[in-house]
Amino acid sequence: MKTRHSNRSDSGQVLIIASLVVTLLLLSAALYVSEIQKNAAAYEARADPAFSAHKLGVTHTVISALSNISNGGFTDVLVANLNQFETVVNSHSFNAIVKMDSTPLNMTPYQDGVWISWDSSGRGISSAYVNLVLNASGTSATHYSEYAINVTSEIDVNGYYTLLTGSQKQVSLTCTILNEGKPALAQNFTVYYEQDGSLSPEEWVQVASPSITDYGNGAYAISFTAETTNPDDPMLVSVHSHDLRYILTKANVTCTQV
Amino acid sequence: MRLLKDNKGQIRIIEAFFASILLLSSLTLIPAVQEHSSDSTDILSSTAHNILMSLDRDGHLASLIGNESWINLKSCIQSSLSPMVWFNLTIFDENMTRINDIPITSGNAVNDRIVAVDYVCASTSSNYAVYIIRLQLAEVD
Repeated sequence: MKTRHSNRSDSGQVLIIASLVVTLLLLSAALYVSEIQKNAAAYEARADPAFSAHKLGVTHTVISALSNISNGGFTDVLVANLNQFETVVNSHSFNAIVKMDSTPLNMTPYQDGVWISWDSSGRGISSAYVNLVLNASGTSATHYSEYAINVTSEIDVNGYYTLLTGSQKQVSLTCTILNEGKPALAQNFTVYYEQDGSLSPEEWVQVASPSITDYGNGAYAISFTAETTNPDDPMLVSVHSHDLRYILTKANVTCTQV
Repeated sequence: MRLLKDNKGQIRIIEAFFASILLLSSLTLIPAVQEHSSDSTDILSSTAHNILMSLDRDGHLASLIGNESWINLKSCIQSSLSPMVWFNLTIFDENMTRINDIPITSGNAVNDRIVAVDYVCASTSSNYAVYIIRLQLAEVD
């Protein structure tokens, strides 16, 4: 009888130990799964938070290059600056291996990522376009994003004039400044007119102190008095403007007489 | 009598079952505590990143560095942070040579858990330059 009682007690202990073993097995399996989930590199559709900073950096790089090129610099400045930025980003990314690839657009009207169009129709455009690919491989996730970086400064000029005495003319211009197609502010204006209204030879006269009214919405009214060689000479005006990013745009326009 | 002996065994099994549930539930608390501490680090590094990005959005950050306006830069960072957060800002050029000749900090660190964020900043001026900005943040205990 005694032996039977002892056997029953043992069976209870075995059951407890068995349940503990099962619990430990369950726990170790749960921990293993959670650790695997932590270490596995997951493909994520969302962009790396650092990508927005790199995109901003590339945008600033393009603005700097366009500012340089529009003010007389060489077009290869864009590629040189982009390479400089890429080198710094690639060598200072500690959380992930970042691969940045920026390609200046080579499609009409862009050449080596730059398009400068300062024509005589009253519209001037200084633009740069770069395609950017960012790839970051980290221990916990891999991110990939593609961006199109377009920096465009534009000036639109319309004008008319009224004849004063002799060859003197009162000229009124309306200028609109745009950044990426949106109204923007200008830093300064320089206004010229053609002495005899003909571009051969070019005899531009700088207007000493034109009256400039800033409407605050990217629109400006400019007025000045000009004196051409003859009263019948066409009124050919050239407006040069730097926007707040110091990107230069120029537009030439032939004013109509009213 | 026989039934009672059978119940004893069942109760032990139930006890063991409850004990294992207790073990499991206590273990589930451990990752929650770890997550809390990593959340605090994530918030600080996200704050550091956001401050630098908002200052850099219109090229203001590079302009302040280019003009060596360290006092203005300190004011900008200070006004963006809670007074309960310590900060230290260091500016390097692309060769990792320190540029700021005076410390841009809110004092001595009072916490060992310091979060550091490196930010690459490009200037918008035609005189192009790239800076590496290291912003260190820590919560004041």
